[in-house]
Amino acid sequence: MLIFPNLNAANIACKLMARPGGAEAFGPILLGMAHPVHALQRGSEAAEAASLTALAVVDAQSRAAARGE
Amino acid sequence: MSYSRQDALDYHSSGRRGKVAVVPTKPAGTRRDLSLAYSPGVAGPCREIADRPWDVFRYTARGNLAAMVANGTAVLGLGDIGTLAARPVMEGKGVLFKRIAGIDVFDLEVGSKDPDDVIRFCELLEPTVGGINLEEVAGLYIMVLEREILFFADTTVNIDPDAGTLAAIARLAAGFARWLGIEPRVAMLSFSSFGSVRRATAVVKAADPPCTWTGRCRWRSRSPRTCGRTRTRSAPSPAPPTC
Repeated sequence: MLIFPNLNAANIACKLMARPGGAEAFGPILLGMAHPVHALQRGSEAAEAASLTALAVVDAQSRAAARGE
Repeated sequence: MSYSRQDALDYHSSGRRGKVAVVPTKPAGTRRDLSLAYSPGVAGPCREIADRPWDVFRYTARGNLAAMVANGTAVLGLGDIGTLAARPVMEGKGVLFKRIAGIDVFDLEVGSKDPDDVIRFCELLEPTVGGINLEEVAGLYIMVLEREILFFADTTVNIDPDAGTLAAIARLAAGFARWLGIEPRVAMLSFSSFGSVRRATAVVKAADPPCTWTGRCRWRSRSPRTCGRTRTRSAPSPAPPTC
């Protein structure tokens, strides 16, 4: 887990790793929200939308389970 | 779910026109109530806020208020339909915010097609609206490589975090990894060996639950492959990794 000193550093590293680096990237995943909310980047592909949706659904379900629903 | 265009028109025009209204949230029935709400009673909170600007969130609705701003040039799939035609959409966004998150919204239509005007308008509007407390929010990317998974944060929210925010980012990101069933090894990356990352690392180390290890570091010493084998000269010795 790499915590970057600022947004530019994190984003540049991210793009380098995902594009020329060939890593499979999932995100951006918003942390600290009261409900599962994510904002896709502009120009995202369908697969990215699908993966974030899946994550939000699992998140919502586990929160519901934690509330005893 | 089916509805006609006429249904939509009726929905908007029946009863009170439009979809939103401003409603007082305090009793306003008596002369005393009105004296508290406006002059002279209102001077009390005014003076408090003048002394301590942050109290605006205590004595006014600012903290729960969002501005929904549009200049009508790119409205949903409707395109450049102008500020007036954009209004039903902006009121609709207000309805969604209220219904889903309980947030109050002013819909504001700005009569300019110049992006600089709109941006300036939003800047000047800052005292009116609340916005999000960014310190406890962060964005994270998961990088799946051939042999390992890396988490990158913050990629989305905090542009230039201070020490406290960096620590919060690390805590949020570590919590997310644990939620996935992964016990994270956290590296606080820095370009130089000084500055906010050093202070953030101290905060993270004192955090509960403690991360497996943390350290200010350069990539060579803290990439997962070489974790624990080498250390930067200036980094204080972290607890040995349990990874």
